[in-house]
Amino acid sequence: MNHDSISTELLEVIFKRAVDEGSRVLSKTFRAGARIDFLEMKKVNIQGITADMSNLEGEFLGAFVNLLGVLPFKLLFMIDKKTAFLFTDLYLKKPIGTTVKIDSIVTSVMQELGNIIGSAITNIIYGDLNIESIPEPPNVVYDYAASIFSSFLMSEILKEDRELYIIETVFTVVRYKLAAKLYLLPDSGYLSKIDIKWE
Amino acid sequence: MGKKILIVDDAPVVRLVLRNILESNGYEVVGEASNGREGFDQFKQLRPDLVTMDIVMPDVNGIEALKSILDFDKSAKVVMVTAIDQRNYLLEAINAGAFDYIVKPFEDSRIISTLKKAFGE
Repeated sequence: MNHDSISTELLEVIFKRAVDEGSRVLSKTFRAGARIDFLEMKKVNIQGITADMSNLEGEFLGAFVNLLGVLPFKLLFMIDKKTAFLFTDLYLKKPIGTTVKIDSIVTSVMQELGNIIGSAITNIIYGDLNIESIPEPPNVVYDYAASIFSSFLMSEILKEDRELYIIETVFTVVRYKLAAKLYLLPDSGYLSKIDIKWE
Repeated sequence: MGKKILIVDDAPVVRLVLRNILESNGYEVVGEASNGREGFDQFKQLRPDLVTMDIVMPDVNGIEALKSILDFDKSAKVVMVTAIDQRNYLLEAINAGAFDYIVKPFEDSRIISTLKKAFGE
C-alpha cells in the first residue's frame, strides 16, 4: 500500500464518521429527522471540477471553514437558496415556507451550520486520531456556484497538478430531498503528516 | 427583574435563539457581543450575573475572553456554549474557571437547568 492510498483511506474513514456526526447534530438542531448520507469521496482535477460548477444553475450560499491544526483542511458547505430557506425555517422552528428571501438571518443560519459541521469534523479528528483540530469562524457568501467554488480554490488555483478531494452528500430532511454539497481541500503537505501517524 | 445575562456568540441567529429561550424563562438579556473582545468590554460595563460564551469566534475567542473576565472578576459566572466537543477545550475552560460547558446544538431545558444551578435556584 503506498502513501497516497493510505491517506485516501484514512481521509475517507474520517469524513464518513464526520458526516455521520454531522447528521446527528443537524437532526438535533432541526428536531426534524435531518440526515446527511455520505455518497462518495473522490479525487478530481481542479480544472474539471471548476468547469462542472459552471453548469450548476441559480445562486447558492456557501460557508467556508478553515479547519486548523496538525491536519489542516479547507471546507466548503454549499446549498441552493431553496434549501437555505428550509434550513432557516427549521432552525428557527418556523412553519416551512416562512423564509422567502436571503437576509442576515438566513446568512447567519448558514454561518452556524458551517460552524456545526466544521466542529463535527474537528471533533471526530480529535476524538479518533487525537490530533489537535479546531475550525475557524465560517465565512458565508451568496453567489453563483462557480464563483463560490473559484473563491474556495483561490489559494490552490496556480498549482496546476493539484488534485482535490471531494465528498458528495445527500441531505434528507423529513420528506424533503435536498441538494447540498460538502467539499474538502486538504492543505499541501498533509500526506506526510498523516503517514507519520500510521507508520 | 430576572437575573442579568450577557450572550457572546458570533452568529446572530444563535444570539436570537438564546435570547428567546432566556427571556421566555424570566431572565433579562442585558447585552449581546459577537466576539470575545466585545464580550469582555460589555462584561465590564454591564456587570451581568452570568455570561453565555461561544468558543470559536473571530478576533478574541471564547477561552481567552473567559480568562479575561475571570481575571477581572473572580466570582463571574461563565457558561461555555459551543459546538466544540473536545476534551482539551472542555478541560481548559473548566480549569480556567468556567461554570459549565454546553455542547451545541443544545436543548432549551439544558440551558435553563444550567442557569438555575448557577443561581442556586
